[in-house]
Amino acid sequence: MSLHVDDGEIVALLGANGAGKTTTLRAVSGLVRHTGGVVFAGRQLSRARADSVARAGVAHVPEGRGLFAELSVWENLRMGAYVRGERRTIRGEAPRVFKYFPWMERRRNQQAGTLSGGEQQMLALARALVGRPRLLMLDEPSLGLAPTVVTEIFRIVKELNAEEGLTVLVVEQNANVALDAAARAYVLEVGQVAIEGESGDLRRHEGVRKSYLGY
Amino acid sequence: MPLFFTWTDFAQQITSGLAAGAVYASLALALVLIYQTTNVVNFAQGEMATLTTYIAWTLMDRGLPYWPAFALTLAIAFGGGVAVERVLIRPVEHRPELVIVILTIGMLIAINGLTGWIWGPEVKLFDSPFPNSSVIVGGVAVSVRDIGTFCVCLGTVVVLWLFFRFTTLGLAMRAVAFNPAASRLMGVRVGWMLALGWGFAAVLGAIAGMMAAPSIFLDPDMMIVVLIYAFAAAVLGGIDSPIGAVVGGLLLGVVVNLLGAYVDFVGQELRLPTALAVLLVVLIVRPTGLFGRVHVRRV
Repeated sequence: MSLHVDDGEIVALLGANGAGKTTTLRAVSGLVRHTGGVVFAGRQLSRARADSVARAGVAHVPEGRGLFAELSVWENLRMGAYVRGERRTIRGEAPRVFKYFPWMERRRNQQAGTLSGGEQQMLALARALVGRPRLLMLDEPSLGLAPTVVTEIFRIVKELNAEEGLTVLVVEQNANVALDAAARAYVLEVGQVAIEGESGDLRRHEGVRKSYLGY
Repeated sequence: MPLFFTWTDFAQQITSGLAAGAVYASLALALVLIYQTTNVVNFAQGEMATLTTYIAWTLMDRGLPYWPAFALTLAIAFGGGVAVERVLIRPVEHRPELVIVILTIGMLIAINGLTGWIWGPEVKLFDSPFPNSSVIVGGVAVSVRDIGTFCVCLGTVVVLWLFFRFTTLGLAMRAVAFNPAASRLMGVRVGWMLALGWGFAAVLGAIAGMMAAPSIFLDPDMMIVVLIYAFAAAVLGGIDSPIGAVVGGLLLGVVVNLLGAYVDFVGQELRLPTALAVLLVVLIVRPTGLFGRVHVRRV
């Protein structure tokens, strides 16, 4: 399997259950052992542990979001800043993140575990943004969320990409919203790249349409 | 046993109960710190405390004044705690919890043997920095040593609380306790946070040992009973709650002292069984302890 994400790009990773989408992200961020190479910003990361991959500038919002449920919204955001020096970073980055998620500022002392599913996903996203990652990896951000919330989350991701040049690799089952946000996409089938191309081309692709878009 | 009940005597029993309870609280907090990250009870916590108390004794025996010896002992305890985690616990970190429990029991036996071998089995006197006199507080004569013990133990707890509440490192350590996998994704060196936890636990143990030693005297088995009280305190508070450990320790100290003083058949001999009986009743009513978290998860 070979794939690449360019600076400032949103790339989607599509495919059915068990195709290896999540495992791909976990391999990049050093959570699973793998063969082959991961090159990030000219640096070989394939032997690196998860914490040093994070410090290199890769933010991974995992399946299930990986929030600290017992900590407050604010403490979760502070943890996002840890990677760049918490105290120095959070002061500058918090206002920037609150601009995209205004409700978070009002509810900064709320325990993260008591947020709704959509709010938790937004907090996980915001926490990743606080660290100013060079690559943001989102694993199934739409999972279990209402359609309006999914639209909202992808709208913010697109906005961040347009305004700040944020680079995103997003894994999705919901091919429709993913292709809408991404410039390019890879379709995985049993651990291999089956189809790749521009989002527009994939939308018109017969197999993709039938298997993943449902029309 | 007092013949007549007097408020003065009652107040004195409370203060000495609080002093003993502060020692239990320190060691209970040490147990909770390790339980939160490693998910096991460190059975060697008491023996580690005894060992560091012997080190303090040796430093003072060589002529070091009390407080420098105290500070140096805390530094040694911290380094020792970190080293124990890095060298002994880390290799079995991902093994079943029973493996780690057995390892800590092995450490208990090994350290107990080591202290007996180095310092001998005879009981040693251990200095207290506080005079064995009393001061009048609100018309009641209170032991200065009790007040001092209480303040040192609780002062340490407060400093630790401030550390966890207000520093980046403290936040990262809490994050690791709650969710080590997510912490790793935040760029936290999880292994070192665990080691720091063991270091702080060893410091708390050293304080408990040095504060307990003047009244219960220094010998290789000194902390065994204290550790049982600390277990009881930690479980009473809810084994994963730091506040619970502190409240549990103080509560246990006071209740045990009052039972020993005012309930005839309990006296001095039956204090420990009585304390454990009280604990059993609390746990039947509240299985997660006084402050324990009930694990509820949104799915």
